[in-house]
Amino acid sequence: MQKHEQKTCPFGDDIVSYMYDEMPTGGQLEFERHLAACEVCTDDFAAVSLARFETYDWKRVEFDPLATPQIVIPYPQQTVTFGERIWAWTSWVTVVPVLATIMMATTVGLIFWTNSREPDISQEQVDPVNVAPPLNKPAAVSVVPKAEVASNSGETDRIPRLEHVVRRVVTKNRPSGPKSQFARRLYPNVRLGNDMAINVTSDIKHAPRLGVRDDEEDDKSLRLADLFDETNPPPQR
Amino acid sequence: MLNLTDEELVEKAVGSDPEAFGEIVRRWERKIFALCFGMLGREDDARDACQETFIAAYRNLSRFRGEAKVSSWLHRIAVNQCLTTKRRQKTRSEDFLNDDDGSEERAFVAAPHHSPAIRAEVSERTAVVRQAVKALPADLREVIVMKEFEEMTFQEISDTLEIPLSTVKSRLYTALKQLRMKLERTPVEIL
Repeated sequence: MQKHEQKTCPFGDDIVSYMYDEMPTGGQLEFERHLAACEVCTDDFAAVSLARFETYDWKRVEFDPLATPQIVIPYPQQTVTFGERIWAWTSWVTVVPVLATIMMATTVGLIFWTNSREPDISQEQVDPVNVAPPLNKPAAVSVVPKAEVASNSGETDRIPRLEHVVRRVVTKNRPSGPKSQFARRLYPNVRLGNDMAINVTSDIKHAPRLGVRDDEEDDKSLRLADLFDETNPPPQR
Repeated sequence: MLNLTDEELVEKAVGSDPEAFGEIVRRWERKIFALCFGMLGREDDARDACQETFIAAYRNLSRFRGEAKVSSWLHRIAVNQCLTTKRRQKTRSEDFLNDDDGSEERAFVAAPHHSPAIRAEVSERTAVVRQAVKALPADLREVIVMKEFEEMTFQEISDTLEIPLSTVKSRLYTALKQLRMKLERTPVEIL
């Protein structure tokens, strides 16, 4: 076993570290090898260990049996009103989730309640519904001269004058509307069916001009030119 | 027998005097136990190591040649016994998947029911230690109290006192050495 001075021993300060098990593993093994070979360090370690054990024994005998004191801190008491307690209990952190839950529950309940009150339409007798047919555009627009209309209908005495020739627009399946009523008031002598309407706006546009004598054969009235025509005297009426 | 030195007692023990070796055990039992406790950290392990130390010393009495002090010889045997115990504990902990997590590091077995004489000795010894610790300088005493009573690490003491880590170790080492010297000056009469 070595014997040397304490000053030359490099492990003198490591005695307490090893004793309290706070030495790194590598240093611990090195210190143990040195301790087994160094008499000075061994005696020193024994002396320090004895002092430590006496302290430990003193603590065990006198302090460990003592009960842990119960610390009571006299905090100043604060008077809290009832409203403050309620507000502290119902803070926004509590209120918002509760309100959201209530709203969701109410919504779901209303949905279920509404669905439960609706009748079962599959079991009821439902009256047939008359659906109007879709509107069709006029199939054709015919311009019929008044004379032709009169000849076809046989009502020559009620034929209006030439400037009042109208164009009849025949539409099929067209209900009577405001335009038809207006035409009845305007032309009370013309019979209009529910399927007929008069396009008033096109009357003047297609009125015959004065120079055109397309009604010469039917018009038996006296003309001014006939009075001065000596070669062709006017017919006797 | 009480007036003989340790070396004389060893010579008597080598000459097959069982009372001589018994006196050696009585003189060094507590110190060797403290050494074993310092190395192993557990009271029950220290008791076993102390027992094994004196058995090994008795078996090797014939090898003691008087070149060193008896105390150093016993210390060496105790250190070797503690190192053997630690290696055995390490192997055992590895075999049993570290079932001993060290939580019982500072645990101690229940003290047996001592006689009134032993209780009086214990009470007297604690009074001596209390006076010795109280006589230490304040900077040394606070380190001992933090380490032994509050079980703080060296680093925690360093952070608390705002002193270097090496200073904490040197202060504790000095405090324990001074405490040992004070206890030697006022030895407790062992009954």
